[in-house]
Amino acid sequence: MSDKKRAGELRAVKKENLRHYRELKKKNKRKISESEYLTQMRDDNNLIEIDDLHTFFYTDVGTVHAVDGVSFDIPRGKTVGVVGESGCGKSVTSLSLMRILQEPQGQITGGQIRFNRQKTGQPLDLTKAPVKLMEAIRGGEISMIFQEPMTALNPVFTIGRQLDEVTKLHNKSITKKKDIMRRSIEMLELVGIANAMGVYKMYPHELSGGMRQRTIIAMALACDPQLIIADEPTTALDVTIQAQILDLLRNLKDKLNASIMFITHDLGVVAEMADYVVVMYAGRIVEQGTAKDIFLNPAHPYTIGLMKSRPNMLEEGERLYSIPGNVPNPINLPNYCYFRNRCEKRKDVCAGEYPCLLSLSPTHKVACHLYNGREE
Amino acid sequence: MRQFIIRRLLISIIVLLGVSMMLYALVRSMPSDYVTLATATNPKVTPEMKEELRKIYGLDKSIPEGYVNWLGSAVKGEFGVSLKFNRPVTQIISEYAPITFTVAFIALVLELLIAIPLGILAARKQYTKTDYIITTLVFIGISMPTFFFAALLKKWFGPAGLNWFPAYGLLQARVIYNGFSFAKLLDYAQHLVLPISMWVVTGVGSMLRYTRTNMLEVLNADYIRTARAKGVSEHNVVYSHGFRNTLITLVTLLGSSLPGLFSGAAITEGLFALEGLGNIALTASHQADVPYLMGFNMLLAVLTIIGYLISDILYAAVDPRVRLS
Repeated sequence: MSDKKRAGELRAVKKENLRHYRELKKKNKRKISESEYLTQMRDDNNLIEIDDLHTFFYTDVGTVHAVDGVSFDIPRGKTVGVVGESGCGKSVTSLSLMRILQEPQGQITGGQIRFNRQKTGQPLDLTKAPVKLMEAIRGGEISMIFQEPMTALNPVFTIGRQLDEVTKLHNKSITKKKDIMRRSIEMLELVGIANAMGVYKMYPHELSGGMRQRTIIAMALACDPQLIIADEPTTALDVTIQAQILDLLRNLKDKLNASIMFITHDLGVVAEMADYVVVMYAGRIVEQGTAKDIFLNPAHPYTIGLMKSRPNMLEEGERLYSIPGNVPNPINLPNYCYFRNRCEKRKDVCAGEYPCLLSLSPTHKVACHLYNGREE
Repeated sequence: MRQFIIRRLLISIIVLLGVSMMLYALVRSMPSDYVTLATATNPKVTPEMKEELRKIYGLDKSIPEGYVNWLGSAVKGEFGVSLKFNRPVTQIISEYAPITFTVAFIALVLELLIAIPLGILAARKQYTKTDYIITTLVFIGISMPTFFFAALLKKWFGPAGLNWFPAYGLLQARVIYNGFSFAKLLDYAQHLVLPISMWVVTGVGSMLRYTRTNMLEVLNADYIRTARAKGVSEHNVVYSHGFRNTLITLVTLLGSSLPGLFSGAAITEGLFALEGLGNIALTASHQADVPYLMGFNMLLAVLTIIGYLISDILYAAVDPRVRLS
């Protein structure tokens, strides 16, 4: 009987999903007028303002609220670190920003991503912008560095062809083939590849992981982007190369006066790179603030747990701390704090509604019942 | 590269030797032989006469002995005289191969022209109506028994139905053509429409599904996401970044279809009464015609080896990760 009931539920889910797919298709077909996506920034110093973003995945077993009401700003020329365990919605937030979610399953269902576009001087809402406009922005004004250097490059094209492509698409002032090639080689040299001319003609499989990651970075920087999204750019690399890549990113950021959205689960890297930190858990922000706020006064038990589980804090012979339990199943999340079941400071009040973000200081916010009534 | 080809060709010789050995043993191990079959309806033939005939045809020797004899003349390029057709095997093959090849080649080209674009379309529109319609039609095509579908085609479009196309043969029997003419070509074409359509409908499915599955896999790859993140338009993401990778597997499929171009489809040719290699091979195996079967199957073995060699060379041409050595 329960099997039958379950089958019925799954059918209902499928039907519901199809409805969402159809709606998306209709939405994509519609012509979008300028007035729909042009918007105003809250603060002109911000490059990106993510406002109450909701991104859902309609899967066969139910709807996953991958990003559920996330809001944060990326100021011009600053680095924002987004931290959290795997599956907490960091990458989906960045993919939403680029609008390269796996459609039609993944969809932005609510909220705004306001982008302060320098090229035209008109801020626009990326969640509503038409596809053609997004293609112009992607890779040119907002670019992304992926976490898998081994698979993120197309195996059948040379490095040169893949680099040239970006310049051809976004930098219309360079038209001659020779100049495009010169630009690509310049970029390869910029990211510290010694034999740029040789690498230009090579295929991805002929390069090491570190070299590939450098070419991916070169690709992301080729058109002087305003925002660089770095999705765990150093995870797949060994430590010495990691440090080099981080230095490289920092230097290039200053050179281009770009902002970086730095996604990672490595707190050490965040401490080194970020001006602001956003801590995510199960699709929501649990704590955000300046790097100083987060590292000196971590407030949320989850953030504190993350800090404690860093290996470099260990005394000799001490066991490495790990937060007990796992990230909850993202389908049908309960309406109480998602971290409650793993939390060491759990109180009775935690069984109540999901806590809203409280301000501990003008820059520091936390979503936890422990700080109720302690607002300043 | 040259070294690779030379080595592969040398290995091929050993392979062909093994293949011919097994083939000969199998063909000779048929439950009956040509003499028994050919004389079955004639009560006047005595066992002594049969023995005499076997001696003439060389069927009295044991399998190893017979094989050595066959091999001895085969290396000299002599494949003997067909028992059933009473003509040199090479002559039969060279006479009927062009028809078989033409039909199969046109069908293959059509299959590719249909399978690749539709396969890509189905992959791009996965789980939509378009995808479901394409996959269902393909499924019907794959599952349809050829003899049944041929009967349907003949009933609908042949003389019994709309009378658009003739149902049998290659040329009209009542017309005599002198040399080559446009009318003759048209007559050929008219006769070939039904067999080729049957070939395409029943054969296009596997290639289409191959394209669809591969394209789906490729479109989910990380480098496709990178391409999108670079701002490449959706059309170029699919047809430039995606298809170039799908091509790698399709090329392998193409090389292995080479022997199929000559083997013909015994059933298709039989159903439409086309005098092709497949049809003749069917008759020959009914009659245990050892020389023809050996010659024909060895041709297929050689073509298979060449097909795979071409596959490998093309594979290296489209995939930079592959080095032939």
